[in-house]
Amino acid sequence: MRFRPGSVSILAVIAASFIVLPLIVDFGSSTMNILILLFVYIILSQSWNLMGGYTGQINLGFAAFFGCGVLITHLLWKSGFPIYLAIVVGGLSAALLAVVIGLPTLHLRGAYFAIGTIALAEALRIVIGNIFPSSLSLPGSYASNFNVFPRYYLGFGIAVLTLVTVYLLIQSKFGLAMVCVRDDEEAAQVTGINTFKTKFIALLISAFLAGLAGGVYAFNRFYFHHISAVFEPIWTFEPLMAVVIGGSGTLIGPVIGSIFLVVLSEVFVQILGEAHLIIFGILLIPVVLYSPSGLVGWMDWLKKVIGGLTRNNER
Amino acid sequence: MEMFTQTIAYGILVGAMYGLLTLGLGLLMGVMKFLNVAHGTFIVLGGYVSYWLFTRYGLNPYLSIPLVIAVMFLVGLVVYKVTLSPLLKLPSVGNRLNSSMLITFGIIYVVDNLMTIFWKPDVRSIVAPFTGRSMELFGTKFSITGLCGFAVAIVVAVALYFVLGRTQFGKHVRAATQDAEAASLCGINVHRTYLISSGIAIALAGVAGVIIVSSYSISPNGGLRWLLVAFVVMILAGEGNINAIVPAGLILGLLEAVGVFIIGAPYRQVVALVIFIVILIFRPQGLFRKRRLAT
Amino acid sequence: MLEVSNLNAFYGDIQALWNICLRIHEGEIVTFVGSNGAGKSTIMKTIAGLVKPKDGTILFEGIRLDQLPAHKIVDLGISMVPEGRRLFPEMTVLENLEVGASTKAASRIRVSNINWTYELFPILKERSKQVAGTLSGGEQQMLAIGRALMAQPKLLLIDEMSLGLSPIVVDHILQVIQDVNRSKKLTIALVEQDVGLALSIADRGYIIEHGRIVVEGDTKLLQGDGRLMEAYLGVSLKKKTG
Repeated sequence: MRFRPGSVSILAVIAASFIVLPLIVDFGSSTMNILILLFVYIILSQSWNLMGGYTGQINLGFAAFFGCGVLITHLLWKSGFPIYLAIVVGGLSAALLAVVIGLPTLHLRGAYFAIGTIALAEALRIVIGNIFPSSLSLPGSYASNFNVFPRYYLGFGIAVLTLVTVYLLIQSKFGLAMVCVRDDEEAAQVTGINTFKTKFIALLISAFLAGLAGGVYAFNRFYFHHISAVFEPIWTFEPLMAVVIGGSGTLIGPVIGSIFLVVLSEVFVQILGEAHLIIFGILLIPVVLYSPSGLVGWMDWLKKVIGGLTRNNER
Repeated sequence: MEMFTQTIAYGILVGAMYGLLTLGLGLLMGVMKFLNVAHGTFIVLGGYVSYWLFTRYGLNPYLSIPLVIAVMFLVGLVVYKVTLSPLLKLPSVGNRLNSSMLITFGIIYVVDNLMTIFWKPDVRSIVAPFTGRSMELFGTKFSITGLCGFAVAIVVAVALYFVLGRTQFGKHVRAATQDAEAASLCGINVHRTYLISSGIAIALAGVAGVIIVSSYSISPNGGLRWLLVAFVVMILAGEGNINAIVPAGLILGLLEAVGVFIIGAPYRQVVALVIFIVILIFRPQGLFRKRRLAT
Repeated sequence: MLEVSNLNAFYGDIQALWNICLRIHEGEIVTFVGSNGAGKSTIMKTIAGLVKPKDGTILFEGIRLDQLPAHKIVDLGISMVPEGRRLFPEMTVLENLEVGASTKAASRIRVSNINWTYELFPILKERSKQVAGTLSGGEQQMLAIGRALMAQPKLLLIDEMSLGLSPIVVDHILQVIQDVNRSKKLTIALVEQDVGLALSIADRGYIIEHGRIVVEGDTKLLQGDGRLMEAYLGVSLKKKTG
């Protein structure tokens, strides 16, 4: 993906507005919370995309990494670690979990990898639910110091970090290996790529990032009624939907998908309540069938159409 | 000792049900190489249909099975026509598999939430005169619902064996599975074969749902739990090995019952998942190293 | 009986057949020869419906085939023995034959057709309960032909029958093919690598090169013209005896 001067300046403007606007305008705590959640989704979906969109391995047990990050961050922070350290350790613990999950499952072909990951994630959820059956919360002192800005900027920072990481990875030789594995694993092996190592490293990185997302989320919450809730499959499914609808295997896709997801959730929750996710299911199917590159593909198509029209006008 | 035989009895009944609920998933996977992650959702849907017939019309759930089969068969036809058949145009099997996962995943969201809207998110179960009662056989207690579930599982499994093995349609299915192009050269309409197979697969899920709503309970989001069981059974049976599914289910049921006997009830699902991991590592081709598809 | 006009076929973006025009007359044995990759199999697959042409028409007894799905074409009376046999490896010999008669018309006379096939290839009767994947090459080829015959075709397409088979087996199969052609008036189109073999049993032949028909004619004439054969196939021809 080449960065033309035009794109870079657009990105700079967008980034700048994310950084500057909250300082000038008071968005109110609920909007800030939505934005922080948006950042979490961007990180989660982009990291899932790394495995699913670029390396072609559909991981249905991704929530395990997120949950791990949330739990470890929360526990460490509660026991006095500085939050930034706690988040990093949260990410590392998720990566460690990825080693445990990855070793038995990455040998498996497509369907069985998906099945294996979701089974292991569910096992973890049940175990965590049994170890921590009651609620978890932070002491009152943490609440009195609450300031939404560090949380916002941390979330934003990690989201940017994630995008940059994925961007650098795709440009590298490793990125090429990932895409080869996705397109034809056997052919990739024959050309000398160590497919297991490729998948494994991709898994570790994506787990680490997901763990960081968990850390951001934990930073922003004081009370967990059942901590096992953050290990629930919905934390895999929503990023997955964001990626597929936004455009899997692209850099911008998960971002667009996450925005779409968060915005639509807010809108439809009013109307449909718990059932608002039905919209995503209805959208997902035609996207997979007819527009595998998601909204990004759509945008490209639009650009072509518009480009065609303007060229005609110029004649 | 009596506790132990009780455990074994329970394991057999549950195992038969596990086998039953896997048949639909295994059929779709074996024939078309589609992974239907919405399988659990269809099980729950079948349960809701039966529940509705019971609460509205007082229809005994076991008698409702033919109706559920009819309804779910139609659902299966629609699902195939609308979402799965376009996948057949994709170039590679790996592609098809991944896309089938993503699409059926979208179906989970549509159907689960439709069920939530229709039936509210509460947990439902059928409470009939026979619920919770048990019978004594060979000195051990067997729950009535469990025995009925066992019977249904055996009947369905045998019926499926005969359809696949002895009928002309079954041969069409097997031929299309082994070589779809060659099958069409024999005059078999492969798409129609796939269509009907999809109907059967979803209908099988529906039957399992009836058993589950009578023996346990269902809720709109409860499909995942059964999906995972089906995954484990399918892997134990070995890919494409439809005849081994009920035996594999029985084995899982027994192992799980014994495991819970030793470790304790809260970890029931973990036992299944641990078995799953062990199989994946040590014997990924399944326990029954038989030939690939039903004969 | 079969008329192909201006047929153009592609594999993806690559053109495999260029403006193919040919005819097959009732009761005859026609052969398509040419070097590897020339497009002979593609012609067969297009007639059988496995490959859809981009343009051109295929008329069989007045009915257009080119846009029909393969299984409908079998219904109309064309059956193919595909390259590589493509048996159902986990089904028995008997089951493979039974499946061969999957069209409505064929299924009515399934049992008598099975008996007839057993007469043509007695070894199949011996092995009827055996799983197809365990048969020898020759037996598999016989089964493949038998399976195609079960569909009660008016036109039988045979793609690369002799590959990997010993001459004795090939001879036996050729005998059966000629028998069936004469006794049942079954029209046969044969794609063959072994040119000598092909010309020895066929009435007419087409030489295919790079997806185009380059020569067409009576096999007697083609056989006699050694130069023609050498020029197009780069082999010096040994006449097949028997």
